[in-house]
Amino acid sequence: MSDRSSQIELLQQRYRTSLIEKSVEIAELRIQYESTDDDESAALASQTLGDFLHKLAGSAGMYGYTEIAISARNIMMTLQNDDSGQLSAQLDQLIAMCEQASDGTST
Amino acid sequence: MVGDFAVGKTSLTQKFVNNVFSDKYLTTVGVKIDTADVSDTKLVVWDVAGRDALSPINAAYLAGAAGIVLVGDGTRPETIKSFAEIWQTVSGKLGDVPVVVALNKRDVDGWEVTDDLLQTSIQSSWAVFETSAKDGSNVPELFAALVDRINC
Amino acid sequence: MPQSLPDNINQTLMQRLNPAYLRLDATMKVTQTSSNLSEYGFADITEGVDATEHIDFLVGVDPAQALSLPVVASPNGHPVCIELLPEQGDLNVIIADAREQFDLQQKLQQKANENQLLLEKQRTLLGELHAAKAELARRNTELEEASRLQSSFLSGVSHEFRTPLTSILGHNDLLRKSLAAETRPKSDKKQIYTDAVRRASQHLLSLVENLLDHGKLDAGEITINPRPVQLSTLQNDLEMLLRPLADAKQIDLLMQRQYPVDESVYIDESRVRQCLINLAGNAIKFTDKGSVTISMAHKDDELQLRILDTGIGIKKEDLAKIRQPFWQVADTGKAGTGLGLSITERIIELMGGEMTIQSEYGRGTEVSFSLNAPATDASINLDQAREAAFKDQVSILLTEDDLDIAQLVVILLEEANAKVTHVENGELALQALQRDSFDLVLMDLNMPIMGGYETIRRMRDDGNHTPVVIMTASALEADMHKAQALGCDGYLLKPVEVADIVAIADQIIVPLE
Ligand SMILES: Nc1nc2c(ncn2[C@@H]2O[C@H](COP(=O)(O)OP(=O)(O)OP(=O)(O)O)[C@@H](O)[C@H]2O)c(=O)[nH]1
Ligand SMILES: [Mg+2]
Repeated sequence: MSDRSSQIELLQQRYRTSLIEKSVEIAELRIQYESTDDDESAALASQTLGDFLHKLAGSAGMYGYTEIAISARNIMMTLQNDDSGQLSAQLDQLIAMCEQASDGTST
Repeated sequence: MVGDFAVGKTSLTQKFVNNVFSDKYLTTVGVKIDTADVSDTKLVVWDVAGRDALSPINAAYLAGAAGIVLVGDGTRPETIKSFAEIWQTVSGKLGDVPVVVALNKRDVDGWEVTDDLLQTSIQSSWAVFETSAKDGSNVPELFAALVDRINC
Repeated sequence: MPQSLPDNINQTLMQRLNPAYLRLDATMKVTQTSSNLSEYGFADITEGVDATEHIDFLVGVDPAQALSLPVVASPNGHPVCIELLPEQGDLNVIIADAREQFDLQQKLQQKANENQLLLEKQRTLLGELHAAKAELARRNTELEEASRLQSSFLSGVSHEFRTPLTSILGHNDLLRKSLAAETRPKSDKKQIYTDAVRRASQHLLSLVENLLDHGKLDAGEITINPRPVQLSTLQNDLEMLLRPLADAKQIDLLMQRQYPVDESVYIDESRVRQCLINLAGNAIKFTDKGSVTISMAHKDDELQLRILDTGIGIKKEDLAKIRQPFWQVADTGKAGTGLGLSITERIIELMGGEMTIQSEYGRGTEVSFSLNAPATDASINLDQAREAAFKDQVSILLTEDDLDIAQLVVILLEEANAKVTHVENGELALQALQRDSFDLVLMDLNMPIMGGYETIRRMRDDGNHTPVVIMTASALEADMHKAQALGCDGYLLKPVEVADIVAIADQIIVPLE
């Protein structure tokens, strides 16, 4: 039992540190998405970003990062509606949230 | 005029005889004698010093009385309960004389005359008046009733 | 004593008393007078006159009786002392000056009587005071008794109400379900009717719950049990509950969060939630345009909660009254028991907080309170998993490509008395299902190699009827019709909680005969 709680502790710590990597990945996917010029590669980039956000929404929620989960889910909606004006600001916010959440563990 | 101190014996007398009233309390020492004419009867009023806890009524002042005005203060029930003791002194001296009762100070707030009190303190043969020496209510009636009782 | 002394005394006394003398016969006729009689106001008394016609104190007296009158005052003339001494059928009347005696006695008697009057006055006042006190005490006990009776009556009645109400709600639900099963479009109206019944009964039920709470608070039966709670979860729940109410009135519902996103604190979640719903519900009820803001801030182990609205506000004179039980703003025409706010305040106090209300009539209201809420360390709580545990051990196949999620769910499910096999995609899941039998399959939808829907379709094609519950991060993706058509038994939105998995599994796992 105490074994399980230390396992969970470990998982949590790992997830927290992974958030900084995730923020980097979001930033990269965002550059890909914004730098495409033809429709086909745009659709693909959107799909990749969407998939990543989908996973993030699921796992962040499980680890208690509800804000991140909600934000990721909202950005998925924005992606589907193709609202690029809002998208940029939302992604900025999500990246900042991931960085901030991860900060807490570095000690 | 007999009764406890400060019940208004002097005030009733003065109202009746001279039609005056004063709020100031000046206690009566011994007896003060006044006269008044009620129709064709000359009434000599002996306003006797009030009874208090230490000095009972001096029966000498009752000598020769033809009738009694028993005065109590309607706002001080104790002064009405005193009637019994005063009546002992009076009847001891005079026998069964005519009596009228004045329950005085009717004009004041805090009237405390209850049926119970009347039942225990007042004899059925006595005529009872609720009076006010201040506004004069029932004062002539009180003395007229006494004269009637004496004359018949 | 030499003879000269009594003579001397006699002379002095006679001088001071200055006695006047008068002798009457048996018919009260004057037979003799002294010369100083006029000094006492009896000027025209001469021999032969009837004394009773001129001297008032002689009217009615018996000439045969001795009588001593110490102080007699008349309207004219000063106070005198009178002695009547019968002698051989005649009556001697002696009148003497009594001014000294009178003055002395007057002073003493006046003082004594005035003091006595003051004492009596004091006694009556004290008596009145005592009576007033006793009356007050009597009324107090009466009031306490009445309020105790009222409390126990209220909780008794509330309790009696709850059972039939629950039954009404339950049967109404059955009615709704059977109506929904009817496909005739005419049944639409009936649906509206049953909805109305449900709304009304639910309202009634919440009033009854409020009354019960009130009674429990009076009886000290409500206790506070702090447990670790994730603040964001609490606030999200509130948002989900209140959003429809705000939308219905077309006002904004704003959420302010000032705490780390994964902050967990020790509070009694259900009581805090009850207070916030009450306060925010009120705020929405009394706001017709603008917004209602729910603000949560956590700092230094203190949780600050604020509900802010742009509603009708509260008049100054009403501010004190609204906290009293059963009080309602007269002219708002809003329904309620008037108990919500007083219960909320009492619960807040029970949790060690203090409710403050600031309001400007016509502009809005701010209600706030702070609670002691120490932060917890772990945001994921194994206790919850243990509490929710399966009664009998179940075997679960978890199909999930995200290792972050999978590893966590495995640990939590194991803590909840499950045996878990984890695979990372649909293809591996099908292989596992051929090897072993499971009580339940938990299936992610979006996986590489073989996705969730495809896997379920193939499972069913193979004749495998193990119950499947879909786990997905987005409600959009969960196409319920498709899932149902594929023979899927339920779905869960991520983040999933162990308790939810256990609850849904309990419903669908059919015990083997
Ligand atoms: N208001 C009111 N005051 C009264 C009335 N009668 C008497 N008083 C007041 O009561 C006090 C006592 O009144 P007196 O007439 O002196 O009483 P008493 O019975 O002659 O008193 P003693 O001579 O001491 O036995 C005085 O201050 C009077 O002004 C009355 O009818 N109404
Ligand atoms: Mg007097």
